[in-house]
Amino acid sequence: MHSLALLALLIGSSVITAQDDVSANLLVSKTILNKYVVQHKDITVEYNIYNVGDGPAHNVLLRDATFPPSDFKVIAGMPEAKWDVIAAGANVTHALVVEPHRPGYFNFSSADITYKTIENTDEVQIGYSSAPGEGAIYGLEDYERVFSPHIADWAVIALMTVPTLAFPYFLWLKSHKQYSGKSKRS
Amino acid sequence: MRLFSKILLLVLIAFPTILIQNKGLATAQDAEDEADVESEDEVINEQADAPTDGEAAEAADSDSAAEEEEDDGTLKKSPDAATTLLFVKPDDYTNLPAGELASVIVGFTNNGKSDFVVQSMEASFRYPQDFNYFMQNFTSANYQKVVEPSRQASFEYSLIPSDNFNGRPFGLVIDLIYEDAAGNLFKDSVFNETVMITDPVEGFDTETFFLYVTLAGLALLVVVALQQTLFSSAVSSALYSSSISHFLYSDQTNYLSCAVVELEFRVYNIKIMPNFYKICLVLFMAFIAYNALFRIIILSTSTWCPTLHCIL
Repeated sequence: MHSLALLALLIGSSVITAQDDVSANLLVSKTILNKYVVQHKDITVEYNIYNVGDGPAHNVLLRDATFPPSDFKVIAGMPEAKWDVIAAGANVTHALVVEPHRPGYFNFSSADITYKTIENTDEVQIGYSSAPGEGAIYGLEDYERVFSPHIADWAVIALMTVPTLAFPYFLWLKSHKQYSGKSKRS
Repeated sequence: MRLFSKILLLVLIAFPTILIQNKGLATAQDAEDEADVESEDEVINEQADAPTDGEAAEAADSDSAAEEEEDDGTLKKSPDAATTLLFVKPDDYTNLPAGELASVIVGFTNNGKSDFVVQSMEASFRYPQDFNYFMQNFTSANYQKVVEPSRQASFEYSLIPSDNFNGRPFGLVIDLIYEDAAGNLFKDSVFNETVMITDPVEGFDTETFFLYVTLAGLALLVVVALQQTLFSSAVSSALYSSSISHFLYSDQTNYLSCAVVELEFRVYNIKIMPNFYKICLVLFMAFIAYNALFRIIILSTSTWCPTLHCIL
């Protein structure tokens, strides 16, 4: 009786472990690589998918619907990415470059991921990526004021300094010509 | 008399021990009293909590086990939630480089029937021999993310161990705090291990480089100074007599003129230094100037050119 129970337990546990063995488990991080997020300038968003499960993940679909067309323009990459298989222990990276239309605060929330933990199943696992959180989008003018090389400003300053330098120079030139002429004569 | 003095000595020796014993007994008794009071309080608390617990258990439907666990004050993890942790940076999580970003991703799976709200994640460094002793608390990250039944969510958390901590082991505890639909709080220690804070691996350390530059400059200066004092005495007497003729040195009490002569002599002495030492002095000055310039460049560019700052 006891041995039968033990056998049943063993079989049960082996079944459980077998089920656990093949299932995939995906962790998704979403990060914004820019230090400053600026209006009309590119933002690079990076998605990293890590399979920490024991089995491969199938039909992986990453979808980021958090950049509405009214606020963002996609410059490069796709807001949707698909992988047929992500092996156990492997990781993949996807990048998307967008450009914000207007300044202000924006909540960079999480992307969605759907995948099959086992290959032959209709059950689809839905997950969320990590969220970079709420961040400020700087206005282009504010950003330029602080970080641009100010070439026009320096040019104006150069122009403004011209009279103060040119006037004494011409005075000197005049006297120099006079005196050098005299010395030649003598 | 001798016997009496011996007895007195014994009594004097024994007196403090008796005092200590008495005091110890007294404190022990106090502690017992307090414990009694505490246990009574606990009983009262439990009695007061019991009905509310019952209600919560009814509301939560299946979380009664977790409710019971919550009674002793510390938060436990929910049986309906599964978490996984992955160290993204660095690869070897048992050795965290000091002053460099360490990043983890925590996966949260809702296996229950009701929503979970993941509130926050917080990390702390503990004393490795006693995990109740906190060395440093890191800022908690706020998520407020609703995770529906049978859904997963990932959460990223990163921290930078202080530069002062290198070469020491620390107990790193990362806690994920979440609540269920009924508002019961849970805490899952997703990471609870002793990690080593190591020296950051750097190919080129600017700070030590400039330290060596400064040291080399100082060494050069010492060489120049030695040369000045040791080898100029022979020249000095000849020069001294010649320079005197330029000044009215008749008045011995006129110290000012003496000083002027001395000054003139010293300036002249530098002028007649061999070319090699002159070059050394110029190089030293150039090093110092370069050093200062470098620092100024780093400071001024760090705000608008972070990449340059990183390279330097």
